[in-house]
Amino acid sequence: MGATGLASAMSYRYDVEGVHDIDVYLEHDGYEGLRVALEMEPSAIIDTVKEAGLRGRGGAGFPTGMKWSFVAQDTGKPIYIVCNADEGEPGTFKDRPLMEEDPHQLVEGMIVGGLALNSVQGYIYLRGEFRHAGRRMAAAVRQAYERGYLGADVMGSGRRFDLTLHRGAGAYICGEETALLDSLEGKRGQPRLRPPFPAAKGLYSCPTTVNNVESIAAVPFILRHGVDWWRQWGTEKSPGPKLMCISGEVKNPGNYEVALGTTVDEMVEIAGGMLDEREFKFYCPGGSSTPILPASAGSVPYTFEDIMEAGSLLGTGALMIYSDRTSVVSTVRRFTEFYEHESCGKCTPCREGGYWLSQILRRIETGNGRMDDLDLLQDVCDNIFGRSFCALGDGMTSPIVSSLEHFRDEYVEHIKQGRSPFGVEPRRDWKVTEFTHGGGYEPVPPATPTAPVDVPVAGQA
Amino acid sequence: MPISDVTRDEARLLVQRYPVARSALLPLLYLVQSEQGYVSEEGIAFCAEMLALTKAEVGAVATFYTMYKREPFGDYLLSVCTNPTCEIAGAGEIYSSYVERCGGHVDREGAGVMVEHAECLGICDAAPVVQINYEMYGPVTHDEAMELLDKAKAGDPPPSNRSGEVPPTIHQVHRELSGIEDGIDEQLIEAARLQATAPVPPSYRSAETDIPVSHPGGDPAGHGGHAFRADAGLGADPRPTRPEEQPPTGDTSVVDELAEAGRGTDQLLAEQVTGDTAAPETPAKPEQPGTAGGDAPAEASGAGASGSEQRPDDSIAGDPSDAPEDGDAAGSGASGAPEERADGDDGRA
Repeated sequence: MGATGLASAMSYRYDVEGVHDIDVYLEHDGYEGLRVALEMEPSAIIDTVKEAGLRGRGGAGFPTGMKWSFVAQDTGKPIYIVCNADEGEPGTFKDRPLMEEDPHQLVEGMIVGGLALNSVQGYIYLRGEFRHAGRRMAAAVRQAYERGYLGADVMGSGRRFDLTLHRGAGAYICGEETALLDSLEGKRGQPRLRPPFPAAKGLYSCPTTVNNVESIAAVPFILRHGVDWWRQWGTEKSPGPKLMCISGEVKNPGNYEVALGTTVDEMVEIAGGMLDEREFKFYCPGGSSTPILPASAGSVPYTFEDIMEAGSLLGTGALMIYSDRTSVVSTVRRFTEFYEHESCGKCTPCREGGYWLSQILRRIETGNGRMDDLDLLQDVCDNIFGRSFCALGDGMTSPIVSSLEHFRDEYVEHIKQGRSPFGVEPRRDWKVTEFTHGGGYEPVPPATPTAPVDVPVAGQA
Repeated sequence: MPISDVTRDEARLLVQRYPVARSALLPLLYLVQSEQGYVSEEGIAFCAEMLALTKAEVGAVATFYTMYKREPFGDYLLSVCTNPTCEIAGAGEIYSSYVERCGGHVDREGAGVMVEHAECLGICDAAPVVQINYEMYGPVTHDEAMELLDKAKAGDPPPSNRSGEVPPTIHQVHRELSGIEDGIDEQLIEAARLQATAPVPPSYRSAETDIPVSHPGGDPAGHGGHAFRADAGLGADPRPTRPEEQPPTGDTSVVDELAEAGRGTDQLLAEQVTGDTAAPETPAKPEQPGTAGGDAPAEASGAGASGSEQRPDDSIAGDPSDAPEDGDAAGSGASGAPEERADGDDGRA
């Protein structure tokens, strides 16, 4: 097992003044990974990534090298490499800082990925709401074209690679890879049936790979510094550093680079410990789609395999820490409303299930819950999990099922007392049966005389 | 307010950036939103025309994504993240106070603002977070948040404490989001053209069929369609840059000559060609606002039907009474006028 604790690998340029500019970037080892890649055979690049054991940083943790080796090379069609920069998982904020602070790192990674896959065209699908990141990425791509890192003749090698920045328009589901491809094709972002997998038929029915920003940006580092350098952090099955998003009720929430294998408790300390001496109660290890774990599971090393053994998933590295002052029921209710809101509506379990789960949770929270609601929640979740088209449906059930497992008492108290056990008055400012606007967070607006009007709520997809 | 000629030219540039024209739909919607302040019926018709899609197909996309607004509201959009981490930090109260002060979600007084609650904005270390025109502010106290609203209403938002940038008006931001200001048009257009004209080009409709973009039933508005027309000797893109430049009609005779000369070797191809080239001047176009070419003859509907398997929009374009749409228009089905369809969000998606 390698080193744990704070690391300085992929984020080491973040503090360099003006590194988003290509000149400063070049002074700090910029495009050195690409220089190495140009000397290598495509298959050798993929083998190196495999040896390093880089696992996808977008949530599923699939080995990046293996994913690249699946891309069909014999169809004669163009091959596309697509970067998933549609970061939207609640609690996640690692790709946006990377693109804002060090955008050339991603440009370089895309070019290296293009060389590895014999692809001549890459797309960066950027979340539309990230205006600052968009500005920085656009400038970086333009500079890379001007200096000959992109275009018909990459660094004088005679090889071609073009990169298009494409902005999304506000849909969490477009972080799902096949939905992203549909969105990139100018359609509603709804997941596709698989097979065929994108590696065979992705964008425009051509062989395609879709990778997370952090995964792609890691590759030039691995090529430049070698497999051993990468493996100095983490464990055998989860090597490398990880950009962690530590948020919630800690003193110094923020973006930290931490070696995989560091325990959650240590990471809470890295973030300055709990806010106002509150007591650590529960956490989401990798975003709201991953099952929540109680503080007693805080000693688990943060690796793909250990978190899974503890009953959750590593996800995107979005560690959300909550204290004893926070109601599990309210938190889970809000997560559920998120999924209800972001469901694309393609498949029934997710579309309808999200609606009903939110209704039930709001009923409990407003003091109208019934004891059999707990079984009802479990039953609805059982009918969504594994029966949905994509992972959004599964993610929707994760906080509910896990909170019922670990914090059932709190639900029971909530229902018995008709209020939150923390002495908080039940919220009366909701229309509990409100459904005209998707049942999302909808406080009753004061003194609006008109009946159901066009209320512009984000995400009426 | 018709779509301006400048926008039309810029839209053409965006379309050419992609090997398949339809990929430019999201950028085009931003572009029309930038010009008109929201995605209007006219804007939808314009995108449909530029990409050889139906208005239903475009409307289905425009209503799916939250960043396309369906009503005008003014210059500033304030988004409050209300996910748990921000909510614990006080975002719920900020959002309620915003709605209260604006008397709803839109307040057209002053510079004009729209208030919306947003899902996780990806900046949880700065909770609670407010965005003005997608520029981040956080962490903000309740008072600071109210000040942001007041300043936005007055048309004078402060610089973001994260990026240091003062948010411009939403018109400028939407323009930026379309990508038209990225400044590498030439390179991207060339790259897209190379892919579309490669020996094995990309397909027009992935996961459905494998029709290549350079097939007559493929991508009429994109590089593939242009290449096909050039190969078949059909001349330039009949989709005019500007309405008044619409070429005189006569494509049918070109096709007849083509068929007689035996250049299109089988009858089927000739039929498809007819359907393809006639499409841009189908009688549906004059009825769309923003298209001036009112004197196009109505001869194409019969010929268009033969190509309708690949081009479902032909039959619809020729028949204003609407026809069942393919899967894209989920939920809205065949009922109702286009206006209803366009803002018909299918419930709780």
